Amino acid sequence: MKFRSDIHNISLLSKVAGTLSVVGKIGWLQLSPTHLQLRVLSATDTTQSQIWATISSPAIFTSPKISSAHDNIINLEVPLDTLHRSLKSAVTYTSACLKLTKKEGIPRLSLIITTETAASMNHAKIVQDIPVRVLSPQSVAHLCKPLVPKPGCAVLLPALSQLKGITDRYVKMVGANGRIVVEGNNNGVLRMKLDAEAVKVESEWRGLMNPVVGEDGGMEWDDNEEEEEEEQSTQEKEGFSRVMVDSRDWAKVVRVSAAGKRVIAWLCNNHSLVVYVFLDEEGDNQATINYYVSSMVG
Amino acid sequence: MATLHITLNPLAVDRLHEALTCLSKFGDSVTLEARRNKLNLRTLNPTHSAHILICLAGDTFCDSYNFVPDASKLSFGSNGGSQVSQRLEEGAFKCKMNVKALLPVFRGRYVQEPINKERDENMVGGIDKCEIVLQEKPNKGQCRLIVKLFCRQGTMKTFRLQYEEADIIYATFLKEWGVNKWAIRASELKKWMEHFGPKTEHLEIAADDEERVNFTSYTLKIIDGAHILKTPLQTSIELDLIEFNEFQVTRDTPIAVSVKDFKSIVTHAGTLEHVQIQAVYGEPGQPMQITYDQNGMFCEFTLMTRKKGAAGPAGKAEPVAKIMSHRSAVPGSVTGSAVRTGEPSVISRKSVTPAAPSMVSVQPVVAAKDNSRSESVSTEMPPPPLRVTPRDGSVSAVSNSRDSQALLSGTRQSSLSTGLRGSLQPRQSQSLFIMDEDDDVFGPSPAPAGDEQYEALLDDLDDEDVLGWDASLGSERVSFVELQERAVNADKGKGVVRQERGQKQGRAEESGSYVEATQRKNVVKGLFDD
Repeated sequence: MKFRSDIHNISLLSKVAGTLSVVGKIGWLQLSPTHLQLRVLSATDTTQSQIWATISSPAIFTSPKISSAHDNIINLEVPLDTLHRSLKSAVTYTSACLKLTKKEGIPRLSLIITTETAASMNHAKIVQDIPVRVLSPQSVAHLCKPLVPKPGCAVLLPALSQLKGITDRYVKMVGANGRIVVEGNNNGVLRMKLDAEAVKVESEWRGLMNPVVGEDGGMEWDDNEEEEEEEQSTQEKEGFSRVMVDSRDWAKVVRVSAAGKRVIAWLCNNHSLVVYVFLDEEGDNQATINYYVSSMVG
Repeated sequence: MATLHITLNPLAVDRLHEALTCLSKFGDSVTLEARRNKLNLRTLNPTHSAHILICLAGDTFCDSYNFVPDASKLSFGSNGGSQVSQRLEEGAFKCKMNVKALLPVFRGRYVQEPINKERDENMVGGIDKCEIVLQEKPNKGQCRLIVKLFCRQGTMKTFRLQYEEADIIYATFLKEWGVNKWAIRASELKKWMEHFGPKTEHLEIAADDEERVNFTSYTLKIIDGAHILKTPLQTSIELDLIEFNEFQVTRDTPIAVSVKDFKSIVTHAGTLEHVQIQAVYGEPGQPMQITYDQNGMFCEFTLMTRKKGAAGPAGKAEPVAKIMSHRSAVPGSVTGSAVRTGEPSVISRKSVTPAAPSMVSVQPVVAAKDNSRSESVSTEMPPPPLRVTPRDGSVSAVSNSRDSQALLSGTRQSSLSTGLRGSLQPRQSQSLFIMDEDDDVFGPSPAPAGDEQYEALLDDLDDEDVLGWDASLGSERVSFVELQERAVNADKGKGVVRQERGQKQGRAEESGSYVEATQRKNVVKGLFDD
């Protein structure tokens, strides 16, 4: 099993690792010839959420060398904060090298930065060793992205600075185990509601974009479905899809969304909330984060 | 009654705050020592593995500095040429304060350039000057350190800070240990140190054959399979020798210090402009001294080092250097010391390096292999007088607490005795003397041994090569019961001490060092003082 590659977009990888470390401590990192995938699971007593980040290999790696007995796919368990810290220390450099090594009996991902010193222009080498655990293909075979029904509403989230401020207030008001209801329709309306003991609050955004939903639950959507969109009656458009999520989960969703250039939320009525975070400019799906949160019952 | 009056400009206040911030990263309390022409701030960390001295020069750091020692505490006994310096030393005012109480007093008082004139002029933080005055009225119970901040617009803020009496704790660092040394620009080193994460404990510094220097962080925590992912981020930085302004390190001496301590030092040095950090050290187990100074502020850090992977004798607590304290010198103790010079001083095997070879071994990495080898071989050679500051029971607190420690834990005898070097008395008189003679307004120089103690050094060559700080000095580890017990039955206590010592070295002189009643009292008092 070998992996070695130069990283040309350290800040992107750092951003992904940092974002995912909001959700959980340990992630499953899958390296393959075509992509890098990082998945974190967060489960509490009442809710379960998953976050999947996928970055296409060319978007970060330069000439990766990867080989393993299992279709050249390597599965690792990585500590996200350690990964993030090491990448953060490398962000100011233009390039670095990521390499799978073994030191002192512990498999590690070594991030190697070679740089020139300011004073003498001689080269200096910085090595950050991240401990990892190698996972067998069997142990991850059953892991796949959750299947969600076709969402009743897909909506482009409003400006995240605004959303974050409001969410923080909601979380404060509703307390630790509070619930926040998110509703949206295909007429560009998104509502956030909370109904705590002492207070009832509702926020509403109007005039948001409603991107077209693909059938498959993936992120592609194509123009062929325009006509289906046309067929939707005004009444259907006005109907709200509703999910209820834990306030802390919602706060995490908002924090994760802040990493993206464009964020689309799918509201699957009483089933789940799926948030697609596009890390690159519009139309480019080289790096995405999918956040799945199950809706609570009640 | 000592009087102290210091005036600081806003910039100096800011720098004082940065210095205190640095001290607060090592320990909770800071010891202030006012001398004729300088103010020393000292902190010893809880594990006694790091000692920090920040010296503020009266003439260059302060706008004005005036200290008049307490006349009643001066000794007028004739003691040869060192009389003057000894008087100065004795008259020094020492007190201990909580560093966290001092920090907010000096925080954010300096506005560099009023960017927005109207706004910044109105800033409460902006001050014109700061005055520090000592108010010592022991009989009235009104001992306070008064800090007055003269703010803009005529406001004056006054802080009355309580202090307590304190012993001065020195870290000795013998110049002869400075076999290895390097110097580098602080800003450069700070940039590299930023890569080190917070979770690793140790930092190894080593030079390899190819003229590269390695800074590597590592942990000694045993992490089993289940928690393998909790292994902290290990960082390694490799620099070319050319980055250093000076680099003379023997190739085979990789040493390790605490990452946190080292980072704290570098961070503080990085706040000063164009400062060069100099590190001097010997072998692992001997302390490393890091120094830098700028505009009247001299900083000296003495850190214990270890071999890579080696745990200290006391597990996590580092074995550490020679630190000693003394009570406020009572004139009588001078004669006391003369009586007890028979107490053997100790020296570790590793440090018995003749001065000449060690000088030779100060070579660049490439050429020094043979010389560095020769260092550790010469165990039979007697140490030159300058090698070691003899230990002596000149001040009761030291030998007493040390013996008490031995009573409590005979197993630590070896590291303790190795750790304790140097006498308080010679130090007291000579270290200052040397400083004055050398025109060195800063920091304590290591005190050379007095001749009469020299022979005693030869007794103890069979100790382990690990040094220890003398961790017993604070007396905290000696239970009060223990002290009482000893007070009641001095003979018995003496017996135990002698027995334990006897197992090790069988020193004939031991009986002469036992601590008498008056001194015991000091120690008991010390328990509450500390």
